[in-house]
Amino acid sequence: MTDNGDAMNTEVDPTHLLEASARRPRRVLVVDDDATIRRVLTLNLEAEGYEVSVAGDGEEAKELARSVHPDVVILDVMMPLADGYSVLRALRSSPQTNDIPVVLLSARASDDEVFQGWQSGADSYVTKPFELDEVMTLVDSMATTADDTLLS
Amino acid sequence: MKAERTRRRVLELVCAHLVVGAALLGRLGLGDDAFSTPILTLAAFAAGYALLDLIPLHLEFRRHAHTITITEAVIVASAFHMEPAGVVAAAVVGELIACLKNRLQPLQLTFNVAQTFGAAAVAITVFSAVGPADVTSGWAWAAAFAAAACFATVSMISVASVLTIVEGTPFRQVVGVTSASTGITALASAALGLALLTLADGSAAAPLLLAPVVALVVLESKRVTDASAERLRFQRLYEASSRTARLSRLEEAVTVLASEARELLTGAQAICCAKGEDGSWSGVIVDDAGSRALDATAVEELRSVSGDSTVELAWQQVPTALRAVCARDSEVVVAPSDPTTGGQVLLAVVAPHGGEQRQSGLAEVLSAFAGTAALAVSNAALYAEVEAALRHQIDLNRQKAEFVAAVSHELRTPLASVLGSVQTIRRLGSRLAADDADELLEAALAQGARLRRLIEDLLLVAAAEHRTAHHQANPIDPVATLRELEDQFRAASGGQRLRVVVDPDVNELCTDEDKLQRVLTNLVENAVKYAPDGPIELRCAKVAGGTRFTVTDSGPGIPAHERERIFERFVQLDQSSTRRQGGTGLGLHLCRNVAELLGGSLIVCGRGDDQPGAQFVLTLPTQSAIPGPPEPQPHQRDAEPFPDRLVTTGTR
Repeated sequence: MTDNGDAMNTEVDPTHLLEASARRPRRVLVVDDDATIRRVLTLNLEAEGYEVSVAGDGEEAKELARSVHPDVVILDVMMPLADGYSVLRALRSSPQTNDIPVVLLSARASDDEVFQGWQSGADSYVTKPFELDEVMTLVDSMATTADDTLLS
Repeated sequence: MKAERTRRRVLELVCAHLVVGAALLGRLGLGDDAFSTPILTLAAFAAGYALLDLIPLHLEFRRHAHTITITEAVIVASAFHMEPAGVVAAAVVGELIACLKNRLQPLQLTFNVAQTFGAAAVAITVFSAVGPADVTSGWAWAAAFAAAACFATVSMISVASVLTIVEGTPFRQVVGVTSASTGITALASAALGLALLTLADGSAAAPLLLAPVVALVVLESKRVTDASAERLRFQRLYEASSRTARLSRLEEAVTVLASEARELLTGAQAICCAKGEDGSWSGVIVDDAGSRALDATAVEELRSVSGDSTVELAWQQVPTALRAVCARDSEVVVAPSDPTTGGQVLLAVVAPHGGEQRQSGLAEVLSAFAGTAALAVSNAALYAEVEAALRHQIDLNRQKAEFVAAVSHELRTPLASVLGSVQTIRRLGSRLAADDADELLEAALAQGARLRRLIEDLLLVAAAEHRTAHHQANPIDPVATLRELEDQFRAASGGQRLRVVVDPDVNELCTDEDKLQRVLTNLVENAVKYAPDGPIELRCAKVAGGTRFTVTDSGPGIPAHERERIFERFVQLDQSSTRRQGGTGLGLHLCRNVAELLGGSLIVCGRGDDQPGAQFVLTLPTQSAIPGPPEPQPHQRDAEPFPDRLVTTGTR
């Protein structure tokens, strides 16, 4: 666990759970090689009060996931250097990051791809083009679940 | 269950023989002198019986081949020398030895011994009834023949019975087929038996009696052996034909056919030559050491010596190149397949001269097999053709599926940006800073343009492939075109690396500027994508009859064997999902098609200065002289799948 996680455990009183999770800025890591998509997601997430980190390729994503320990990762599949699946595997194989919920975001929309996405351990699979409202709702529910897991 | 019933019935038959035999011997009386014969005599007769039983003779009557033994001779001979019990004992012991030597199954052995016991008992009873005669008396003949006939007949009936039980063959049929051989057996045996006795008594008449019988039997046996060898050869021809009917590859077929021909004719070496798909002949030679290719000269020699007919060559007639690969002093039989049925195969078998008994009909068999071989080879060719077509189709389908997936990805990515940007502006409304809103709008426009260009490329490539795209050749100044291109790329990422060089002597050329732009843009983008570092040079130079544009990068380059493949539709050399770049694998295919549409050419090569990197060379004629498709009639224009409007409004 990161320092943050431990801090939360010691500092939060169960009765103030909602208050605590609202107080703490939730972090989302956005990984996509397309700058416009990164910008779009960042603007929307920040408007909802999230703290956003961005990565433009797989290797950067792996590093950021370790150092930032986000509450949710939005991960593109086809990227330079390391594709989304390999980032996902890396996240799942490390005890530090294996509990972070991941939304796979992909322009590859065939059934095979979606299936492979679920199999690689993604928590959700969204195809491009996506509905922003849908992605926001998804991230919101996952960040909340992550908080619960962290606190229980 | 059936096996058990058969077994029981055979055993019943065995018992019947034993009972009849014992009863008959009992009637003849087994007195004190029953076994007075010296044991050596008994052993000699038993050995004689076993010997004759082990040397079968082949005979043929009424189109049936028979295998007979003339053990009755021993019965006849021993009948004059021993008491009935001795005769039967000698026969039984002899039969037992023969059965053991032939390693018969216990049931078969039991049956054979019992049957011999029964038959010998019947024979000696009849002999006693007719005789007992002196060898020299006239009755001796009658007694001998009667004994032999009885033994043979009882044997025949027993064998017919057991065949009926075991094989289900109708009894009458077996008897019908075997009765003639039984008669011959009896006659020959009686004569032989008497002859042996006479010989033992020192009579000079014996060999005379013996000779014609033996000669007859031997000649007949040989004739039958020849006939069955012939049958065997056709049997083998048939088997070889069926084995070679389903060969699927020409090289494999030729090798197998040569081996089969060698087996078929028991040659030392065999050669099979076949005409390939390209019309050239090739051959394979097979011998004890295995198979290897026959050199072209020898193949030609074989074809010229044989012509259209089967020939048999003595060593002196064998041409030189062929001599080099054949065993010395061999004879060579060459058989081409019938030219009217394809004439695609030539078989040759090399047999050592005089090494094996020269058999007649070898050439005919080889000639017949050549026909089969031609069929097998054309089957193999057909099979290969079908297989290749199928593989090509599968490949094409796979490529199409990959293309659809790639196009889907390429369309979805910019669309996601456009929709995402617009949705953000609407969702966030006033919460969005003015700069951010502007940035999103710009991005949406840029991504929209990217989307439009992709769609135009898809349409253009379809039109170019079918040569239905129009082009309008106008005089253009390449310098202006290239400057425009340079400006366009300056802003784009990676565009800073582009250096445009125009040789001073470059003239005006007459071509479709939009399409030239499209090709050059694609080539430069390709370089930006695949050569992530280092300068990219776009050079324009004058060549005889036209203008040459070269785009040179310093990326990893393209391996020589892949250089044509990259122009195929949907081909991307790195197909892994971690590939650095997206794309549909359409760009270069489009470039080449458009280049050809403009009457020019597009090739790729290495940089040529020992540096890694690729160089694309686009050559266009000064005057785009190749006419496009015939100008469509006005009423057809509406039906044009790709109107000019679409393909000429490219991104600038």
